[in-house]
Amino acid sequence: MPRALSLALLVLLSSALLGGTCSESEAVPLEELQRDVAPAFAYSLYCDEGGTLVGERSAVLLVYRAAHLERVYADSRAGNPRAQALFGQLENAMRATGTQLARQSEGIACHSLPACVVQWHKLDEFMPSRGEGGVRLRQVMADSFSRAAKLQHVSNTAMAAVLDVLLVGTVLQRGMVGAAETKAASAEAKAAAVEATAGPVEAGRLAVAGLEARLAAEELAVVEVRLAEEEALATAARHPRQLEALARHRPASSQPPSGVETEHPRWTSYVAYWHRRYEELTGTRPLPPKGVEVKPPLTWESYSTLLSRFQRSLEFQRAVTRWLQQHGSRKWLPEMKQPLVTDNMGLKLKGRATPVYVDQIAVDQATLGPGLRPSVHTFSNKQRNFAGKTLEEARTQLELDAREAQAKYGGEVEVRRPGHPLFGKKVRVSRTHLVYDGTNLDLKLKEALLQRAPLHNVELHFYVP
Amino acid sequence: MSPDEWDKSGDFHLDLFSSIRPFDEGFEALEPLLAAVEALSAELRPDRMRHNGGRKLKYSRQKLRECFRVAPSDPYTNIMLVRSQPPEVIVTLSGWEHDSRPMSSVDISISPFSFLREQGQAKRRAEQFVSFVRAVASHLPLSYGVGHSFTDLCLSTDPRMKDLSTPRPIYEAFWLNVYGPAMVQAVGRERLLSTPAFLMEELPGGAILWLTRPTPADFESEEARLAQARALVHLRPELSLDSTLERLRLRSLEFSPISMEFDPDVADILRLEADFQGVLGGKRKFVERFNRYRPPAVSEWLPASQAPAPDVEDVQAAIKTYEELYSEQLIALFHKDVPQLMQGTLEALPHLDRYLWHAGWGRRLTHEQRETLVPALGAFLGRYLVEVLGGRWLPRKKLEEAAVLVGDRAWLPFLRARHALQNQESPLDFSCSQLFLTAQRLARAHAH
Repeated sequence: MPRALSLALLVLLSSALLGGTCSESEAVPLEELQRDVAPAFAYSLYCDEGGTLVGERSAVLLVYRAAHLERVYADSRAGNPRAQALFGQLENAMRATGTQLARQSEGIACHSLPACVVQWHKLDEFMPSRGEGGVRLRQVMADSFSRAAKLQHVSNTAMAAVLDVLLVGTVLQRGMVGAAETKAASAEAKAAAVEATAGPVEAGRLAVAGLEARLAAEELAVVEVRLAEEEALATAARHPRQLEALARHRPASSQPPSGVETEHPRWTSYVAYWHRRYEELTGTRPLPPKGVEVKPPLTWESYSTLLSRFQRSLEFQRAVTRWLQQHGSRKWLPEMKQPLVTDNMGLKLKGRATPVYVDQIAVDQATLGPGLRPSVHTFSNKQRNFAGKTLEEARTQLELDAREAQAKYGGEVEVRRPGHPLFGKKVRVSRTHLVYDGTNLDLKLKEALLQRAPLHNVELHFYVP
Repeated sequence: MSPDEWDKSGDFHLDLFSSIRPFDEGFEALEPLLAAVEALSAELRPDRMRHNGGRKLKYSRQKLRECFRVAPSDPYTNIMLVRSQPPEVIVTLSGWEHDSRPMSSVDISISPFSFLREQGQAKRRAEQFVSFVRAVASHLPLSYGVGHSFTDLCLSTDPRMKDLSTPRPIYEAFWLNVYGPAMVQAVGRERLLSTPAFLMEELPGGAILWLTRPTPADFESEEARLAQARALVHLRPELSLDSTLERLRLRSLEFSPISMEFDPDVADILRLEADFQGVLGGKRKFVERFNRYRPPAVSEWLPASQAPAPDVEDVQAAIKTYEELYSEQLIALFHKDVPQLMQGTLEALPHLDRYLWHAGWGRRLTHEQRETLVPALGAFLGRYLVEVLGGRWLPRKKLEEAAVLVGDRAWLPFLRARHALQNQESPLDFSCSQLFLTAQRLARAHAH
């Protein structure tokens, strides 16, 4: 009974994601999965000749084993009918899960929203792959969730929970999943889907990966990239690199450190992060593409501190954006007549494959007509700590930040966001700005840095949130 | 208090600008400038270098040539030469652009400013700067230059880097002034040369160097202000001597110390903040205001006899949570902003109080942040009462009831922390320092 077998996945995911208060978890416990050592890949582990799932747990295991899942997805993309049939069943299960979650999260079982908000971040533990296959399954699930939720007029809080999965799980673009599906759906669903895709999801105050921040859907990609960068650079304490020693530190969702609640999103996200990293180190999960050195996971304390600081930096960037959109552009961009300020904009640079994300970009809409040269300013936001630093160190920091900002957000860039007036155009950045958090900087240092900034080709500002 | 202690962070700047960029002609074109730096006396000469913000290396002309070979100049190039011994000296040679025109600059900053005031040395040191300007000008035609107290420069009406137009308007007269050919032409050579000055000298390349006084040391003195005012009024006849002098005297007032008579329980916090604000931040006004400030008396305590007994299941475990989890959390959160936290000395308390107050932590906390920070701050304070004053924890389920028993009083550090984090001013009104000092005083009295 193939349908029943893929339902095992549905039951597992929906019970885990809805959390203990909403349903009794009888599915495969996560701890058991985490002890799983994937055998060499073979289709016979999961399905019959025609691609139909076999075995009680095959869907659960396949989704859990990142490398296998990605193999099946790659084969299905290459046209392998067995892989297509197998992956199709997973998609169906995800779609059903999404719909069911939307119903349950607002249904009788779960009156106490938002206390019973879907724990999307747990998805990452059950479906760790961040490869294309994993992304695809998440998209299917989140789309069916938001469609069903919209139809039931689910509150924005619950809708916002969709975002939760994105940060910890993967980058997901809303509404990316096939237009074909929308075609098949009823007119009402179609309208709802269009509505759901248009404009950012209104995020409530939610715990995204243990971060308390308001985020629009399209910002999540950027935030994820930044968090990964910060994590890679963090010098705080990490667990040992040696695998045997590392395994002794394995955290369990059910056993948080004292003083932390089991269901605390930050703890759950830590457990997922730890396991991801462990798998990258053991080679059971493909490494991130950049060829960056994979460091052992941070300790819980370091991870929690990293998130706190990261959250502060997000809030700082948010505040700078708001300031620029409200009054700040008059002060910082006095020559602009009709400034349009957007944040987290993806830019493609000449000779660079991956896009960079600029904290804010301002374009003077009065300079957009034919034959005009658009006035475009870019902003890099930094919270630097100059406490206890000498003037020389502070000036060197400024020089490095200015050089980085110039390299990433200066020169000729191509705007990558659809809907932006400069979308797809190659433009020369007129000026690059650097914004420091001025909270704990004394005036003398501010003046000394302002004095230097033009020599490094940036306009420097201090912003106190 | 001497003026140097008052303007602790003050330093001296000498900035020279040119519209020729020698960087474009390769390293050889820079060598005469490097020779001028190398010719500075041993007490000023830099011995370390950074090229374009790179790693700090021991200075040698040969090694710098190597850096240039590896990374050829783009329009923005920066050589920073620094001293590894006091005083802090930074000499920078920079190539850059302004309004798409090439620019270069040579500047020196010296900290502390008191180095220039040293008895018996002031004149000799001042002469060094003048020789330096001559040496630079003989290889690089200068368009503008200024040498002065950086604090006073910032307080002046001169917009500094915000106005690099040619010819640059004359905003003020400073200790050392270099006017390039365009400025000379705009003012009129004869008029400029007849400015009342201590020194007036024509430089190679058509610029004119002039000094208002023999040294930069006494820039805020009555004589120096008079010299500055006379020179300025000569160059800008539309200004009146009286009002110009009045304005300069007001600026000098900022440099004249007033005594700090802060309430002893918060004096450390206020002294730190006063120094942080500095002369540029209006230190005088700050001191005047807070000399009158008295914090409310500490209310977060109970007589020892009324302190509630512990109601937690495991007293030792609760204490461990306070001391390890909570208080370590505070250090993790703030050690970058308050490096003193890492040393665990008494000094950390006023630094922490000042930071929380200054950064507005009481104002901008979300509910969740406050609920994290109150236990962290309370436990940190409690640990000082235990470790320094020999107090004893009385843990409670409700943190605000948890106390540290010292002598005949039970102090409530978590309640104090909650009070400290309610609004903008509360970190000062309810400081950790004040509670600690009060407890320390009473403990001593109790012991006798």
